[in-house]
Amino acid sequence: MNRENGAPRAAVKSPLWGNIFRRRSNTAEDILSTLRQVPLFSNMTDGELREFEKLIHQRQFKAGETIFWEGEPGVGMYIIQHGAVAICKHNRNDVRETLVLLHDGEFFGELALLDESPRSASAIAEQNSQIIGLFRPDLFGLLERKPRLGNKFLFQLALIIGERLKQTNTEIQNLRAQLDRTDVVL
Amino acid sequence: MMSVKTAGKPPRESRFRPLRSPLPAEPPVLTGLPAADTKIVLVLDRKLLRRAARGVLVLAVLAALVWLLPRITPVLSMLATALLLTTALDPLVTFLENRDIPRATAVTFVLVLSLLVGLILIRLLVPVISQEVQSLSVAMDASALDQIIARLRGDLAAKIPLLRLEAVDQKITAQLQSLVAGFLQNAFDFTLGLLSAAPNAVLIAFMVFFLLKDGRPLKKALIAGVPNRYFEMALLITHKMTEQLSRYLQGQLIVAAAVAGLSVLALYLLQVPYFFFIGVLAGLANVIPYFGPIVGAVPAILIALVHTGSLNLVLAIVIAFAAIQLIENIFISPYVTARSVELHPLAIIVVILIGGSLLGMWGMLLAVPVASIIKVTAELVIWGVRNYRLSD
Repeated sequence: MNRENGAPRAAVKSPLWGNIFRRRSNTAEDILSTLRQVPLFSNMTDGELREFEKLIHQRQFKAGETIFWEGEPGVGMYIIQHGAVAICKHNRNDVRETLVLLHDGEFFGELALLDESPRSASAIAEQNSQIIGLFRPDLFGLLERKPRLGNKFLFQLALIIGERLKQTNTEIQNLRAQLDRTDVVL
Repeated sequence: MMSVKTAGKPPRESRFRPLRSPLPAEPPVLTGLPAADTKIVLVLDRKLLRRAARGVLVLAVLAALVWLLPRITPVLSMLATALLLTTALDPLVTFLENRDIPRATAVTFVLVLSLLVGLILIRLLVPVISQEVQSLSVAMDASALDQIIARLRGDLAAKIPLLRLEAVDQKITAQLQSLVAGFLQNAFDFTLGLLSAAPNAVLIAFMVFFLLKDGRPLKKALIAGVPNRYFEMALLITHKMTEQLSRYLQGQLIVAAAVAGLSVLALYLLQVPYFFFIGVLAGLANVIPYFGPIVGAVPAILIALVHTGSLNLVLAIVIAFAAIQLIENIFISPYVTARSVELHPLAIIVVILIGGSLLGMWGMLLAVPVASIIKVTAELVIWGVRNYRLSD
């Protein structure tokens, strides 16, 4: 779940040539412009993004509809094109607690790109949402067919996961410091 | 005072609800009985109506399929052949794509290469095979049989002088005739099946081209129609199924090719006539578990008997086929992953018998792969239902 949004790249295609040779649907262009905003794809060229666009599945979810449940085998990551998604967990009393609310351009579930381990939380659409998904089988296929591009993506994924690990470590250190101070007060 | 606890989930709405009158409510009549003009109208819930409509639609589609299936069997068999070839050729296309060759170019290259190899093989093999089958049928006519019987009779008379040769004669004749007739029928059916597929080869090649080139977008378009609730499960099941079946079919193809090559070589070295035809047949038959090696060895033994009558050659053939089985089991199969999908031996025997009774030799060949496809699909669907929450 990342809140960093890179600035979208400006389209520099000539409208004339764009109209004559443009066969790509609006859906594909929408997907491409969404991908450009996501840090995972920030170092990709347009050609490379088109390769990913071929693998992307676009889905529509109604408000309240579940995208995936906690505990289900993970298949891949999702990026929100339009709408909002709540990442929730159920507590001991089976009451739903929202951990974070994600909006346009943000992504979640990326760890499922690496293995099939169960989802750590549920994802539920808070509004009518248009979401795109990149799934592990397609990524593994890409790694077989175009290993250089697949590795480029995996490297970026590793960087983001590493960054998140650093943040978590800092948070743990802060919490430990707070706990130590609380002990002193007590 | 009693306290009422509310449940976590709101109570489920009734499927039926009374129709509300658009007019302002009149004061209730407190007689205890409904008034004579009161109408109780029940309206079907929209959800129920939608489910009923869906049920009717599913039934209609099933009925249409039952009606359509027998009429489109040739198309389906062509599609199945194309899918099989696509599975076999896909690793080659992926290998080329891995070396930065665009997929369309890689597919065209692989297909052109396969067509060329196919044409060369047909050009080289069809005359040889047809000549071999023709001379085989000539060699196995009545006079040849009589000669074999006479030879066997002589051998037996020399070795067991007390034997009643008339009864043995009759038994040997009947057994040999039924064996030869059965073998010839199967060989002809098989060859005819192969040859009748030839006119469709161009169509199959087109199908293979598009399946190789556009297989992924096609799969993506198909899966796009799956409702959100089943989407992840369907995606994962489809992927696992494709992966397992591809590995299984590729493994079968590799093993069949290796056994065919070894059999041709062994029969050539033993100077068995029609070594090529029998060797290829043995490779194909090897796809059938348990029965395969026997089906592969019987024609070679029969031909050796017809041509030479030498029991030494028969023994050599049996040893050669046993050695090939040993090589296959020790050196080839362990390196070819997922050759078997772990069907129970009893299930294998039953499906082979069913396949054989339905479609003859082709049925026996296809029985285990088809049963494996059904088993893998069923296992994955059960896995999906157990691991995914399919209802809210």
